[in-house]
Amino acid sequence: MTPTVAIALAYGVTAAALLLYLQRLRRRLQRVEADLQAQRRSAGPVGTVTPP
Amino acid sequence: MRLLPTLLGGAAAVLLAAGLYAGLVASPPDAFQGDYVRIMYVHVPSAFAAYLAVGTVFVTSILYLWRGRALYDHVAHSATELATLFTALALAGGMIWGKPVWGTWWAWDARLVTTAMLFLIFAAALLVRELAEDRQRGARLAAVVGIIGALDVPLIHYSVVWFRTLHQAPSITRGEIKMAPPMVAALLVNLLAFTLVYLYLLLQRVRLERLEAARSAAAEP
Amino acid sequence: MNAWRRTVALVRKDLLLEWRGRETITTMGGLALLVVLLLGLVLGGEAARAPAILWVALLLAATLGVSRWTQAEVEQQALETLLLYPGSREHLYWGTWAALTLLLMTLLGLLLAALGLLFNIDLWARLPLLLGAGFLGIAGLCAVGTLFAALLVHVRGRELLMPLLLLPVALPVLLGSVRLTEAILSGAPGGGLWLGVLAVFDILFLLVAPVLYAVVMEEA
Repeated sequence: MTPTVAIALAYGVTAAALLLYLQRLRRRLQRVEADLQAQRRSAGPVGTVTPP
Repeated sequence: MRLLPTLLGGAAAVLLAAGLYAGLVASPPDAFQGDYVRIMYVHVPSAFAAYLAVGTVFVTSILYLWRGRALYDHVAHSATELATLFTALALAGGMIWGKPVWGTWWAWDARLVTTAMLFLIFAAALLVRELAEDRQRGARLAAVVGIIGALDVPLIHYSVVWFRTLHQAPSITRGEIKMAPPMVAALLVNLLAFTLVYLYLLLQRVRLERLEAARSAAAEP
Repeated sequence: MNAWRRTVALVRKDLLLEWRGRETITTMGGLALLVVLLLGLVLGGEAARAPAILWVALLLAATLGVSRWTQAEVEQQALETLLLYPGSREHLYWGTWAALTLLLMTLLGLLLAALGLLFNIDLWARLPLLLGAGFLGIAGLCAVGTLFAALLVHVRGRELLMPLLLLPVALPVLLGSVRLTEAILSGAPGGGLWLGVLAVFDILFLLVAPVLYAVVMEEA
């Protein structure tokens, strides 16, 4: 292995893994935020209507 | 916009860029390893972040079992996941460095074996959490595995070191390298950068954990 | 009943159950013997290989025995009944630990006999030393094994997870016991060091595991 290939491999693997992890994290965060907002929207009106 | 993660993420990105420059451009090749030493600037910080994660798991697992606050478990779970991520990265980097320098991907080096064992133990902790009968029990059992695993790290490390070195003269050792100041600087910048990356990922992962807990709490009132 | 008598009663219960069926020791002995035969065959039967083969076989068989023990507790619901008794859970830990240790010491005795025959080693003169060193290793192995057995009771796929948990954590036991056995058999240097490693492992986990066992057993 030439130095260039080995260095590219090491930096590439590290960068790819970190980016993939970050991207997965972002996606899961977006999904859970959307879910929470939907829950709040469906629960919101009921909460305001109930007190007479 | 939440301030802390943004600041942390920004600082991590800037330091990573600086580390990349220092590691690939500004630092000289090593007298013995040549340019391969540049792999060390990602390998060593990955291993360092892995050990930071293991330390986090140890402390927050004890705190969770002692105090029972959900936040401690969120941090412990997140750090366990990051520990597996960074041990895997440290292993990959070590092997890619080992192939050209040692002439072999895997050299039964104490650090590599310890890292592999850590990866397996913390992956098992994640599995235990996943497969436990309920969420709370999973949190407690994973904390127990995390504590045992973290306590075992020095024992595993030294037993592997002594197992290899006392039996036969070590055929391959990482030579004591006198590092030039620019190389030390490159390593330090990257260590700091990876520490910030670790903290940033931890913060985001904990946020995800908290939001998911809120979601499941709201789903079943 | 005080804690000591409770512990002894538990050990008696466990060993009596085992003695009636002898299922665990039979399967463990079978697996261990098989590993010894296979490794001896593929690696070659030189006496110098015996310690490593012995301890790999024992460790693999131990994962089988420890998870079998958990399985039996679940199936017979003995654990749930025992947990109904008031008082500390610590004697439960020590009871299981002692029973497992005795079981594995029996296995060690059988394996040593097999090794003496298969690898043509004269063990008799060194038997007390070998058993003593074996006890140090087995005590530590059972210290974490007992904890993991309790831990996996409420986890799906427990038989599959046991080796995954126990083997990496018990690595120092494996390495220490192999080198210590070598030192006893062939006078290789470093015996004192490995005695220290095993002692540290034993003390550390025999102190920590009972505390964590109580955590695992809480509102079980």
